Amino acid sequence: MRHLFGFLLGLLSACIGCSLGREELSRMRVLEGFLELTVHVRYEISSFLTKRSELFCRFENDELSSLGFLSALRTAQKLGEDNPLYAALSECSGRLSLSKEDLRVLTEWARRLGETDVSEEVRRAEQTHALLSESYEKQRAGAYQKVRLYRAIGIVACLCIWLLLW
Amino acid sequence: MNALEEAISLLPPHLGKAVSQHSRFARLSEIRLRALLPLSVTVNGENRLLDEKGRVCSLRHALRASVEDVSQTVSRLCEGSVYRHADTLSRGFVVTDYGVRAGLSGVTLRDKSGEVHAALSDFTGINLRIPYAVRGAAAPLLSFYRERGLVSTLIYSRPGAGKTTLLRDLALSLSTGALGKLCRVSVLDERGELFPKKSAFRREGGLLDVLSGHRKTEGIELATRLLSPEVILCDELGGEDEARSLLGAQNSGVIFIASVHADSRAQAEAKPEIAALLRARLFSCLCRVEWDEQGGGTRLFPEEYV
Repeated sequence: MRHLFGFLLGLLSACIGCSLGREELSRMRVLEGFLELTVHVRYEISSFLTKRSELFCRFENDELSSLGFLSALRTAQKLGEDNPLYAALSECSGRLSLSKEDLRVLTEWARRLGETDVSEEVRRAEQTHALLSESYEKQRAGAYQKVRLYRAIGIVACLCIWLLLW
Repeated sequence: MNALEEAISLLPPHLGKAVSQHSRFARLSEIRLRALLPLSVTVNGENRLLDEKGRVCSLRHALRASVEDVSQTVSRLCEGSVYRHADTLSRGFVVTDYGVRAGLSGVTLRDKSGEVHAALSDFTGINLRIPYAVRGAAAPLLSFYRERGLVSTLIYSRPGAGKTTLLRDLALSLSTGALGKLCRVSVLDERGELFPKKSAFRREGGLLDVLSGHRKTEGIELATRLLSPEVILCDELGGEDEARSLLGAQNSGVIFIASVHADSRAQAEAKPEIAALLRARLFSCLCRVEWDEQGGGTRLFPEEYV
C-alpha cells in the first residue's frame, strides 16, 4: 500500500513538473499566434483595405484555434459585432494564458483598430508586433530553462518520494 | 433598404428613433449631428429641431448629440474601418453604398509633409444628405432640348436646391431615350452620390456609364477616350484644372452638362474657371435651379447663352 501511494505521489509530482513546462511552452505558442495575427492584420489593411469585420476571415493558427479564440472571433464576425477582435479578446482573456501586460497591449490595439488611416493602422500594428516580440523574446530566453527546471524538479521530487517511502 | 433607412441606421439608437418618427410625416433631405449641439433635420429647405419623440421643438427641448454619438456615427459610416475611406475622409466626406453623403466637420490633422490624416476622434459634426430620384425633375430642360436641340449646359443654383437630383434625372432620361433617341451618357460621379452602388435608381438607366471615384480631370479624359459618350455629366464643377480638362475635351464632339454652386448668373460668371468656360463658348445653355418654397420642388429656368 505504501509503495503504491509512493508510486502515485511520485508520478503526480513528475506530471506537475511536465505540465508546468507544457504551460510555459503553450504561453509561447499563444504569443506566436498573436504575433502572426498582427502581421496578418497589417497585411490585410495595407494590401486590401479589408473591412474591420472581415479582417480575420483568412487567418488560421492552430494554438489560437485549440484555445477557442478563433471560433470566438468567427462567432463575433457572424453576429455582426462592430469590433470582432476586441469582442473575442474580451471573451477569451481568461483562457489565453497571456501575461497581463501582453493582454493589455493586445486589447488596446484591438480596441482602436479601424479608427484611423492606413499609415497609422500599419504603424499601430507594427508597434503592437514590436511590443509582443519583445515580450516573446524575454519569455523565450527563460522559457526553455524554466521548462527543464520544472521537469527536473518534478522528476527529482518523484525520485525523492520513492526513496523516502521505499 | 433605401437611402433614408440607411441614414437612420447609421445614427445612435436614441437619435435614430426620433429621426425615424419624424420621417414618417416629412421628407428629410438632411440630418445634422453636431457634438454637444442640437440634432437638426432639413425638410423642404427648412431647419427643424426634434425632441426625443421626433416632434418639432424649440432649441431648449431639442435632442443633443454627444461627442461619442458623432464618433459612433462616423465609425458606422466607415463600417469600423476609417482606413477604407481615408481618402474621402481627409477631403471631408464619406458616401455610403446607398448614396447617403456625409459631410464632416472637425479638426484636420496634417503630418510634417502637409498630408491630411483622418482619425475617428477628429470629427465634431456630420451632415447626412439623403439622395432621392425625382423622375420628371428635368422635364423643363428636356422640353428646352426638344425645341433647340441637345446642347452643352451649365446648371447653377445655391447649395441644396436640387442640382444633383436634376442631373440624376437628366442622365436617366437622356440614356433611356427621352429625346427620341438613346444617348450614350457618361456620368462622372466623383463622390459616388449621383448613382450610388446599391441605389435602386441606378437600375432605371439606359445607355449609362458611371465613373465613380475618379477625379473629374481623370474622368473626362478617360470617358472621352475610352467610352465614346455623346453626353458627359458631372456635378459641382470647380477649380481651374477641371475647367482646363473640359476645355481640352471641348472639340471632341461631346456634349457637357455640368453643375456649379452659384445663386445667380452673375455669381456663376464671376467664378474665374466658369468665366473661362463661358468665354470659350463651351456652354450654349445656362439653367438656373430654384427651390420652390411653396410647392416643395425645384423650378428650372433654362436660357440660351449667346
